[in-house]
Amino acid sequence: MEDSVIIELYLGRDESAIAQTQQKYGKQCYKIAYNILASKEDSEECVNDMLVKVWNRIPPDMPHNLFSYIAKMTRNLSLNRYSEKKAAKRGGGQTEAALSELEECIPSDKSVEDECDDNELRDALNGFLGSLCTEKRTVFMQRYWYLMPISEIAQKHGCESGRIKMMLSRIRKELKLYLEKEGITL
Amino acid sequence: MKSERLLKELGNVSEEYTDLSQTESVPLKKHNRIKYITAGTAAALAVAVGGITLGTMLTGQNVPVADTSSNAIATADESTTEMIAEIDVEQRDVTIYYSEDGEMKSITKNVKCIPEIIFNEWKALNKSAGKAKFVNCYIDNNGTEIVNESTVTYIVGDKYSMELTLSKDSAEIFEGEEGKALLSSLEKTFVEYFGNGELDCEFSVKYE
Repeated sequence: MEDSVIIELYLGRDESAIAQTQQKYGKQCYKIAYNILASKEDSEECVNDMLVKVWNRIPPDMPHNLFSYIAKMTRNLSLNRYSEKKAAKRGGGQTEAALSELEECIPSDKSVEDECDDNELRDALNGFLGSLCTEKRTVFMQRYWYLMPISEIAQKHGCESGRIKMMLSRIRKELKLYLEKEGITL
Repeated sequence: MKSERLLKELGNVSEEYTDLSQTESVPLKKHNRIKYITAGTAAALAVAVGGITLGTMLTGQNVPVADTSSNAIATADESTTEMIAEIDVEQRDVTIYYSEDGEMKSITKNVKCIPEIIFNEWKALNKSAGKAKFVNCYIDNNGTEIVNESTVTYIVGDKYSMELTLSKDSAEIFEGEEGKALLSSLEKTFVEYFGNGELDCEFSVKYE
């Protein structure tokens, strides 16, 4: 079923919208959640929470891209749950590794300026992603948005994990330089 | 935790970047491919693939050159670099180190990732390196090749060695205390450029 038709179901408050969303995107959303949480139960719960949330938010939300909208929601819910689990010292997935890698991107604190706000950081990240070639941006997003394991990224692109690791390492360095140039403080 | 904030905010970037449906399974391009070198110069080209070096003398003809792997770099003298008509190589920010008044400083420049270009950028900042001429750069690692009937797979190693060859008269610029600082800036520039400071890389210089 086309996304536009599914959205119409939401707008018409037809509950089959939820089943259609689950059928079309449930697996992909589960994968996003699982990459973050590495727990079947937690991932299923996050996907269910997402479906409820989408039902409650459309309308008034009118997503241009339904998958991007629900994937983002799933990711945020999963990261929140990850934070809760971490506080309770349980579980894990690719998140811990990704966080450790992203530590390298934190700009050096050369001044005592306040932290940038979320909008500034988001604009800077958009700017950085826009500056990357498609290939690099895809690999970066697969690792740090979709939290895919490096081996899976390598398999998708028909190359060795070492090449992906090296590519990501370089991109992280570029991101750090970019954030520093933009005066971003975290 | 700052990286948590970064990871979270990445989730809010533009949708055009999160939609990977068209690109998620595209085979990665090979980099560092020199398509051809224009006529008019004789140069030594070193192409290292998995530790094997081939040398080719150009005699003023357009010569197609084989792809290089990501851990081996093709090089030429300065005039050849200027005449390289089309190079499909990565361009990125590289930190160039220089020695000034006994202090190690650095700037970052966006350059093509060709050793000779990086060397010339380093030379431009290090005035006392005036005489030095780039000849060759050879990188090897403890990776292995797995060859079968139809494919060759290269497993990247984790220990690298980088040998920079400079002209014979370059040796004297690295003498004395100032020369040591100069050499250190050269090593830092090249090792960081290649491995982002993360790879275990042994650096050496030889003269010919």
